[in-house]
Amino acid sequence: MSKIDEKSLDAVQPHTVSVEALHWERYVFHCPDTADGACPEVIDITGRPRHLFKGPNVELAPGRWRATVGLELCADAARRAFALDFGTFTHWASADLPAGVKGAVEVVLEHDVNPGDLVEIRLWLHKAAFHGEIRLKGVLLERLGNPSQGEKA
Amino acid sequence: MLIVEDLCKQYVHGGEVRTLFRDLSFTVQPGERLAVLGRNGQGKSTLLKILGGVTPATAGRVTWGMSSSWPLGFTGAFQGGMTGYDNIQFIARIYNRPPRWLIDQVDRFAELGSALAMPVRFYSSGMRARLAFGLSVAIEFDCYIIDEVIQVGDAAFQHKCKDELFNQRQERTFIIASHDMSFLREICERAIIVEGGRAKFFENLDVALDIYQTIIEDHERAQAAAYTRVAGVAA
Repeated sequence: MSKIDEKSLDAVQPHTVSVEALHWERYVFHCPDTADGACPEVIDITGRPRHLFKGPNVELAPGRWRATVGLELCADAARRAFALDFGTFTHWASADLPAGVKGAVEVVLEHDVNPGDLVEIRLWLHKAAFHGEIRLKGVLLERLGNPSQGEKA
Repeated sequence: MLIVEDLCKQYVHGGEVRTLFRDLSFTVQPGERLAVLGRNGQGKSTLLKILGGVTPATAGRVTWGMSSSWPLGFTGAFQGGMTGYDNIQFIARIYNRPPRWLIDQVDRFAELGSALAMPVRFYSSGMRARLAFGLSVAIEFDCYIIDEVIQVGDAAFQHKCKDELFNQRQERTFIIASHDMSFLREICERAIIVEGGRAKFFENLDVALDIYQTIIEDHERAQAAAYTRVAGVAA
């Protein structure tokens, strides 16, 4: 029976990967309305106020990050009010979706990520909706810098 | 059991096809109580008339596995030239009930008295509704389809209607269209909302009521904005 190599074990421990940009597809998000929790291509907004999707709750390299969230709203959905959050459970940046705009919408949010932060994006429906659909086209994340290490934002 | 599959209702108005709802599917089990919500003119009564067999659907299928009333509140089946007595006798023959017995039952409940000897065309809408309501209660159905009829008459008569239906027939099935959300919350478990050319079925009444509340608030806000625009133009 071979001994466990502690160095090898260290290599598989969770760790933060320092990347400057990444893209989150809808597959990494959680949708509370689906049976398996997977985020569908088309999100039906019918129902009470709630978050329509959130996730993925992962660590990012510390520093300031910009999230560009791409969405597509049908005419009915465009009449409703939504907010996007970018951050952790306890501190986040938030922005309302532009009112009355149907079709493709991009929302840009910036947030300072601290070491160990589990980061997610959340889309909130503010009021109950009878009908409407939203597509999540994806989220582009860009690291703008780490001020604690003297990097420029 | 009631099974509704892919129900659609459209009509032509001013040369344009208007859709009240489409692709509406749901089932109602015996003993269930279903609310039908929607603003005026959105198609609630039309949906109830389709379920009650009064109006044809444009497409889809309605399958009843239990006896159903006509929509209570719908008085279009009465012959205006005939008296209340004659209408009761006519319906007694259709439903195979003893005419004298049915007249007594309806008279006891509807409290129309000597008005039953008058042609129905002279009845007020409230009197017609009382007659229809009395008939529905006397004939006994497995499922009662109710279109705001509980609002008929004075408070005492409304109380009597509610007691007769929801206490004395509490094991029956009810499909109820109403704007009275507290009443629906008290009676129903599930709901359909008819709005803006769509109808959706909701397993949870509270969710449907929250959504309906938002629809009403949006409509009131739009009306207020329109009024402000008109007032601005007038000034």
